[in-house]
Amino acid sequence: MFYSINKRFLLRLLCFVFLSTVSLKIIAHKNTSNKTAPIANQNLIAGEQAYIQCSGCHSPAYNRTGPKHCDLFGRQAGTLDGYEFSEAMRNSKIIWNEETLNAFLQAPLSNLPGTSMGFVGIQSDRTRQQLITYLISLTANNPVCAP
Amino acid sequence: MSNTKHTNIFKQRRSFLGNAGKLTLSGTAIALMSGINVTDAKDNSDHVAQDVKILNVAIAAEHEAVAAYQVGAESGLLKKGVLDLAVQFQGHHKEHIEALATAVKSLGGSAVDAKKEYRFPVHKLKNQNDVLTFAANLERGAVSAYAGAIPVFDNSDLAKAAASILADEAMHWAILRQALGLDPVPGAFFS
Repeated sequence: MFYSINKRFLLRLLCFVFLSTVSLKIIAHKNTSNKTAPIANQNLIAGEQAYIQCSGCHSPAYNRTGPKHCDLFGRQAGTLDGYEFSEAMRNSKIIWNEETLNAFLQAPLSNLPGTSMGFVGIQSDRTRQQLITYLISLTANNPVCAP
Repeated sequence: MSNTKHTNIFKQRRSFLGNAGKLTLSGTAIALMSGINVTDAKDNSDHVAQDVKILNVAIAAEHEAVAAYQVGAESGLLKKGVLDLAVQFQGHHKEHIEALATAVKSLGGSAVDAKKEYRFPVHKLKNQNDVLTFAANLERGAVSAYAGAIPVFDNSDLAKAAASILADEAMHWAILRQALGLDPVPGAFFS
């Protein structure tokens, strides 16, 4: 008798612990999701602000002194139609992604000697990441990339 | 601040800029023409080539600025005083081109020419404030471009000259912001 009560109690306790754990994980996931969205948005806004540093030569939607940035991600460096790139850029074989942009933006001239981008680079890891977040957002769906 | 007072300050600043700008830019142009230590620079052809490349990017951006002010001037959206200011600023950009091109030639390079055409968001320019905002954004971008280029010049004379041009672009930006009713100097540091 004593044994059977304990067994039932133990089963109930295990169920309670299991359900509590699952519930806590769901709540934790919701909280994380709620926090992630604003942080991503803040990064995007900060990245757009950081893009001002690029605006002397670049625009998202059209080529200026520097090439346009819409649909940059996944593009091979130096291959955009309608823009005359340096030989160094054309021969670089770089595919623009988070990793390659992060390295290039930190020190363009030492990362790719011969580039026309005569810019000292962005030393702040955070600012670079924010800028890259903004650059990622420059897809065909972004209104600033509308023709 | 009343409109009259605002306008007077604006005029005073324009007058100040008009006089000071001539002196500063003439000094810079002379320095660029005669002050660059070309002998040392030629000792390292890679560095010279890099400096020429940076100078040519700056010249290309200055050509774009001249074209942009031309668009603004011909838009018919600028009132007389603002139009005069735009033409004055355009003149500064032309002087920058002249000085930078002289520097390129002194280093044995060739200065880039202006493009045959430039693409500007002309369809978005509906009134004077739109034109001023457009010009202010270009000037702000130019400040960043020079700030990012100055540390990478191999030749310190070029860095000094570029700093002088940066100061002029920053003044343009501040005056344009003031004309827009914005804080002309919204912070202590810019990059």
